[in-house]
Amino acid sequence: MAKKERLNEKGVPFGARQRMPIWYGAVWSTRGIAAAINVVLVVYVTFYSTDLLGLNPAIIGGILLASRIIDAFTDLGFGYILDKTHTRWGKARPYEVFIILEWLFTILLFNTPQHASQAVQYVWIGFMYIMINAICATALGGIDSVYLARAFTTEQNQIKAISINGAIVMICSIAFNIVFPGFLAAGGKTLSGWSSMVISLGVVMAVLGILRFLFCKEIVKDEANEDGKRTTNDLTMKESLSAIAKNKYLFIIVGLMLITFIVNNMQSATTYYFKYVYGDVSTQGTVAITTLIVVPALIVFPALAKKFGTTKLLQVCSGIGIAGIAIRSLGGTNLVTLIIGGILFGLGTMPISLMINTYLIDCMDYGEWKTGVRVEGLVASIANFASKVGAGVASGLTGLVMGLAGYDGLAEGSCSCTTTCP
Amino acid sequence: MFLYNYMPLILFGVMLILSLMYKVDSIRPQMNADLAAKHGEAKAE
Repeated sequence: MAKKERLNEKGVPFGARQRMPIWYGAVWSTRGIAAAINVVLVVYVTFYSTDLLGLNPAIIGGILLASRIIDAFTDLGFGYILDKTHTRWGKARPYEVFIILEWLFTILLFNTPQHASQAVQYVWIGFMYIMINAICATALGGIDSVYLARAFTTEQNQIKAISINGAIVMICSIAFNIVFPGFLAAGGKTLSGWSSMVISLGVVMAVLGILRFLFCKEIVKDEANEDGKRTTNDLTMKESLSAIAKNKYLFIIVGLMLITFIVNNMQSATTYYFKYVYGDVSTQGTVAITTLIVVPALIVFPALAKKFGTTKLLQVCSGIGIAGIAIRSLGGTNLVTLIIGGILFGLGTMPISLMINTYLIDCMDYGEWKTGVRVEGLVASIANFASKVGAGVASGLTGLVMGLAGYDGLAEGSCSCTTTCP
Repeated sequence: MFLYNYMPLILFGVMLILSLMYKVDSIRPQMNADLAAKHGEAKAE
């Protein structure tokens, strides 16, 4: 058997190597872990505000909603700022420092002055929540695809990094979700307990999260402007939008993102289905096991993308999704068809859910090829915006359809219908 | 029933149509070659 030729890639940046080391993908994941755990922790803000500070849940809910509205506008604004950024550390990489700020604001959020008036406490919580979500999380989410495209020069390395990142972040999020309630029970009953717990966690996460900035450098640099070529740094907002308007594949990907996020966020309909149609809401947990399909998918998708291409993967998975829903619909309340259908349904959304950054980089390349100018930040932020709109539409759509069907949760046997039942 | 089965079926139908319209793989070799020439470097496949 012929001995495999050993590649000598010494001196080649890790993100450009033919055989990118796994550990480099793991380092790339560190910021993802810190950001994902922040999302899980910040969800507890309502509990913290009501049960430890004694604040009104309706006002807290209003503050959180207002933050989400601000969030939508900061997304698009940040994309434009990113396109204008050009530093010695690169275009997207400098914004990685927002992970430290995100944890700093989280520490401050869970250290709301307890002796201040309630009005001050509401303002404090609102300000910190907006800084965490509308500023820091927006910046960190907005740079992801741009940083990926600049830190990994081959599509294979990009997909490999996405897969390693996805697997590690998922494992860490699950572990945190399991472990954190224990900490909460032990030290989360007092304000001082929360304070010390969040400070300890915040320091560790900020240090972990900044590792990506320290170790993963941007390989692709902006071209110098000496030869008269225009870079995105020279583009006005009008010119950037004009270039985006000519990028038909971006519109397709944004459409696919919207649909994927609508489909993935319509999970509340599942509860109603199992309660009223299946007749046993506890079975929903059994069928939810199908979501674990993401684990083998993370391992298999890079190989499939390499063999068949990302476009073919997208098309085939859409077809698989349709087959899944068809099986689920035809099988009715049969548990086997519900599980098989659920697995295929999950596979249908996987390409966009797992590899959205790869498709966005394709769109950036296509836009540059088509128009001569490369718009990166605005492309990434439009996609970010679409994901948030998709999640919002899903919630609204569920309520709208249920309202039209005359659903009344307090009425006995509210859902007597057979075809329009939500 | 509508939200659990029919609505996702419609959405996946639209998703399939959009994914069939997404033909970047067919222009990728030309696109990569042109961009590599533009940037004056060999863009790795």
